[in-house]
Amino acid sequence: MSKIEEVKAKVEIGKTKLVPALVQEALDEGSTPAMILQAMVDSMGVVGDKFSKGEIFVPEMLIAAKAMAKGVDVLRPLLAGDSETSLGTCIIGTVAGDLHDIGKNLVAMMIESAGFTMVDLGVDVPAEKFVEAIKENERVTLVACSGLLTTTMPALKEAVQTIKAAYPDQKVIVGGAPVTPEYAAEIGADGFAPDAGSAAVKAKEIISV
Amino acid sequence: MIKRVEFSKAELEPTGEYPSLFPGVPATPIYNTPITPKENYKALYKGEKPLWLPNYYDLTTLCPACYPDAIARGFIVSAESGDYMDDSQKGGKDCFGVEWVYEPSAMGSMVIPGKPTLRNISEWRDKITLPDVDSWDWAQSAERNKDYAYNSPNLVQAWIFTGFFERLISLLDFENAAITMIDEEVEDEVHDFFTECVKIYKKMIKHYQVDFNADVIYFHDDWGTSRNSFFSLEACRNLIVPHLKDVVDYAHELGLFVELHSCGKSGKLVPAMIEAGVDAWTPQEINDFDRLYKQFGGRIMLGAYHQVPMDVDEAAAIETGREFVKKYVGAIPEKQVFSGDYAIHIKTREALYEESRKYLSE
Repeated sequence: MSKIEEVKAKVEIGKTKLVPALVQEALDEGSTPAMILQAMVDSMGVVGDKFSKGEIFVPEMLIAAKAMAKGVDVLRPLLAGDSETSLGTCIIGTVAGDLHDIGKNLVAMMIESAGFTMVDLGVDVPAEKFVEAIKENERVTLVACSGLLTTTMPALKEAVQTIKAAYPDQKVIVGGAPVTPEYAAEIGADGFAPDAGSAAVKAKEIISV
Repeated sequence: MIKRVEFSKAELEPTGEYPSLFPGVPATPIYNTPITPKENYKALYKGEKPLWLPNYYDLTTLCPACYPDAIARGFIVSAESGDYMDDSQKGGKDCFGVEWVYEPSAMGSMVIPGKPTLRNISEWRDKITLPDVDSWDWAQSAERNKDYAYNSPNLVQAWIFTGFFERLISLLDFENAAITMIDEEVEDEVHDFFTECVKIYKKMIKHYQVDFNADVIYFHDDWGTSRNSFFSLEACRNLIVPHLKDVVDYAHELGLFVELHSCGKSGKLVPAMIEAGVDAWTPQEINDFDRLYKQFGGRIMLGAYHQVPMDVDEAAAIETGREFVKKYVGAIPEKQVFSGDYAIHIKTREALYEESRKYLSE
């Protein structure tokens, strides 16, 4: 097994301690940083798919994402300024009035693992703050808004509509327990994902990668 | 064994009224039952044939104000509830000193994420002061709840909030708690921490038994999302089952039963519940109840929902009760089932009672 294949395999099973050294060995073996990054993104695609199918659970998904993050730390100095390896910036946050962050954090990890640069605004984020974040960050290709409570669904709508009013072409994805594809379409979002695994797939799909 | 008593219509003549428990759910009559709901419910728990199929109104939920987690989590259900009607009184520090914020729209509390008490479970010895259960004002709560709980004719179900996984979440935030469930490096620390938690739970169980005459410990530990369990059966068996079994065994030694409150689609973890000796579980509606009943019925008592809207017409409400009885009562006591609905149409409840009384008196 080549080192890059080993990286792929170890990310998938979340070997956080082994991945950094393996990434270095893969570099030493001649793989480019972009190739290694893509291998890890592919691994996380497999992880996301298994999670969506219920074959693995939240801890396994989280630990795989952590393992990839450790690998990315090794690559980061070599990837700096290489915009080709990034799918752009994704702004993420839980909408105003909602303090839930579990689902949002899982989605952030998976979208980051798919190749986006994440800007996490946290919880209880007013609609205007999403707009400010789009203004303040470079190459924002996606905004992801989360809402867990039925009572904060209007805030989800307000967030999407405020973003779209300021940036009509900005792609926005929404999710959270009470959100349905129909509701996402009704409030003008470009996409909906039922779980963290499929959120990463949907994110790439929305920005047409 | 309960002596069989033939059903009489006079049993439906109210001797009093249970107050409305939830908005939109009307008050409901107290029936003139031949034995107390407590005796009847306990028979089902023991694997004996009850006189009727127990439902939510046969229970007295107990979550007293002396228990810091009850206030922190905004769920004081006892004779002291009236002291906590104002939402601003809910929330605050739990028994481990973790701050919870009450969210009225969700009718529950959460720990503000992002500032966990522990970064790693291995820090627990240095950063946590374990609660001194005996120092809580059990005596005052017991005094206030003498009629509500101690002398209740109902099955007294005493709550233990913040079970093993929920405790990890409250201390570590969700992501770290989840990873902790499979992190081999901290496995021993988790076992040591859970061993201390067991000591706390046992002291609570003893107080619930002595001070409140409780019958069932309602052990609160959410294990699932709307789509799957949070963690695998293997992880649950490894970290939680040995400690949960310790809690359950202790409750059994004292003559109490244990129902696990575990929200989410957690069907994959039922074998873990059974291995821990848990007596009962009410799966949320998102679970495939029929499959769980077929697979695990007889090995764990299951609470089933009939899911009829409160505004349904009388005929449909009655039919729902009859259908429920027809579906489950024939297999009792071999496969124990009770009605798990919190909100029951009065006519559904009446049909549940009457039909199951007739069937089970034979």
